[in-house]
Amino acid sequence: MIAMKKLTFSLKGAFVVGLVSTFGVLAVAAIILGKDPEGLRIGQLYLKRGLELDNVSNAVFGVYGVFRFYDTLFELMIFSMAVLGITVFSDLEASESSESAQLVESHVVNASASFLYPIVAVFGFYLAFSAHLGPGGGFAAGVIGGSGVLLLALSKGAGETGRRFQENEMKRVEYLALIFALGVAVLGSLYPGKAYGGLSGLGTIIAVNTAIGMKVFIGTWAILHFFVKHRGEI
Amino acid sequence: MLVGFTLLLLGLAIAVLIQERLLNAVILLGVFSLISSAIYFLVGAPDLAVTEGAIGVAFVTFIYVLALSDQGKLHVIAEEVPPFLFQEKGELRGAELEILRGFAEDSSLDLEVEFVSPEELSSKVGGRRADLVAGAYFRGYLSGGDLKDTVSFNEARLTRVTLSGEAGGKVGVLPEVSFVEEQLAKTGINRGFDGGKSFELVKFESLEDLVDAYNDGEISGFFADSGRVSNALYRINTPLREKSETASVGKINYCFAVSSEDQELLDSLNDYLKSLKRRSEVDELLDRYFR
Amino acid sequence: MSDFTAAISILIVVVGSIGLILKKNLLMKLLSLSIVNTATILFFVLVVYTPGDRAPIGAYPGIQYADPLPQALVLTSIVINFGVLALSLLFTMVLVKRYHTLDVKKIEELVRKEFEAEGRPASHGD
Repeated sequence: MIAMKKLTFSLKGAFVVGLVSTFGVLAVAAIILGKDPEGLRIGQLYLKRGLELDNVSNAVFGVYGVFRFYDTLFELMIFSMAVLGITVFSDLEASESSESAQLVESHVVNASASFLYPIVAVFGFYLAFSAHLGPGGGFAAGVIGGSGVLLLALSKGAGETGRRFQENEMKRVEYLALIFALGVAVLGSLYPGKAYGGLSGLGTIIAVNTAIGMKVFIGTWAILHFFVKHRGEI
Repeated sequence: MLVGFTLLLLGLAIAVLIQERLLNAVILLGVFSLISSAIYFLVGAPDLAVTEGAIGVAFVTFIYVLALSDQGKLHVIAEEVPPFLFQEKGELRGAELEILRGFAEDSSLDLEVEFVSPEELSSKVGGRRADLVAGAYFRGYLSGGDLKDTVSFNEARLTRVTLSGEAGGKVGVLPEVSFVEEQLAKTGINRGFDGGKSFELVKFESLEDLVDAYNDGEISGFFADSGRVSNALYRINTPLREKSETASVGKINYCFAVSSEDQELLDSLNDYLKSLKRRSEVDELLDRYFR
Repeated sequence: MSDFTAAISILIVVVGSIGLILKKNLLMKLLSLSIVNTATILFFVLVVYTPGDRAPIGAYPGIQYADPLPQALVLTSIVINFGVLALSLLFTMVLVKRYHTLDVKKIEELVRKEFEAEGRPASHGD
């Protein structure tokens, strides 16, 4: 049985619980009583227009990649800033654990990491390439690729893996992907309908998704490298 | 099915908040993200399901587990001294081990013991390295600013072993008890042993060197604390052992040592030891191991 | 039925925010924040759900599709949440290195003492 801890009742605790619960109850009542079925179907417009695009089958990609590309651009910028913050701190703080040490001392992981990583990488590429045809998208692709590199780093050590993936070059290339996405956005607004239309449009779609995927991959690996270098320090 | 998953999610959210150990809470958060991802799939949002699965389940759990690797452990460094804390066929045993295990269970931590040599003991405590010093540690051993001693759990004697009949000459001293020089200077030469003959203290690095020297006849006796003396007597050559005499020259208190930055650990360990002594469990523990 | 699931996701937001305010351990606060984020985006997806929705992929006539707009908006939110989480963990590490405790009240006291001693928070490094 789960042993219950003694809950001490303080006035402040009861007040906070009461206040937040009141907001919750009000929100629940607002949904149940005031839900407007017509108004909530505002996305039908995007669904209709999205399914009418010739190259794109995935309506969700139609929303975040075609009609509302600005959201994606700014989200990439926010992500870049977060990664920039981590990169700056990574050089300032001295780490206390060795960077080339094996993280996991298991024979199974060490032997199988090297040949499992390409499978993960192919899956990541597949998600990035087929963002307009099915579920996926650049973001999931980048995160999966970054976690795959963590698998490699488990057996070989993070410093060595970083050098093999040419981390220092990657940090400079990262912003090229952002500039490319910006270029596509500008092109799309100057020549409406031509950026993603037709056969060349298919190439643009794949290139944009791969650029987003590459950017998120580099950012994810930068974050993970930092956390491996400073592991156990909380 | 959707309603069932959502209720399960609510239960998981409450379970995350009432956990004591941080690692448990992180794993439960991973399960929370996984059930969310399943709900996204059932509602017709496969993009979200894949993204939430990649980020919420894999990445967030990796980051937390990497950052928290030291959090739930009680790291103990010790000198291997039977019968306080020793290793037999790869398994840890000892009186101190039982005390430490009880304390670790009480505060829901994992116990991890590392055996080091006596020189490294003072340099490895504090900061992120080790929390506790054990292994027949007694008050005044490593006096200094870094370590603070806890309440003692066993009183013992500072013992001197001498080859009967011989006195004077060289007497060995372990580095742990090197303060015996000052003590002897304070109390004067203990009566009844030397008959007034002066002796010379020889310092040894480890118990094995001292016992070998005793067996080879290079020294005529040695000082040690009674815990180590029982270990040493076990190793001394049998004919020699029968001719040796032991006598006590002072009192020592066995305890543990904690880094002086870690006031919380010191307080909780002191409370635990005091409650053990009050319930007189220490006595039956020591009975089992020492007599 | 979708009302009930949306209501429960709001309850999860409430539970998460109570944990965020009342917990004293800094890392438990971060975990509660993660719960609040995940439950909020769950709410956005559940409130527009009508039973029988399918994934909005492929242009077949006569099929009831799920709404793609909240899905796309919430997709960016997931990625931003994990960026914020990474940075918060970084700052937690810096705090713990400096003050050696995860308890919020103790950190506040130590910062206040530094403030009284020097008139400003102690500077990092130099």
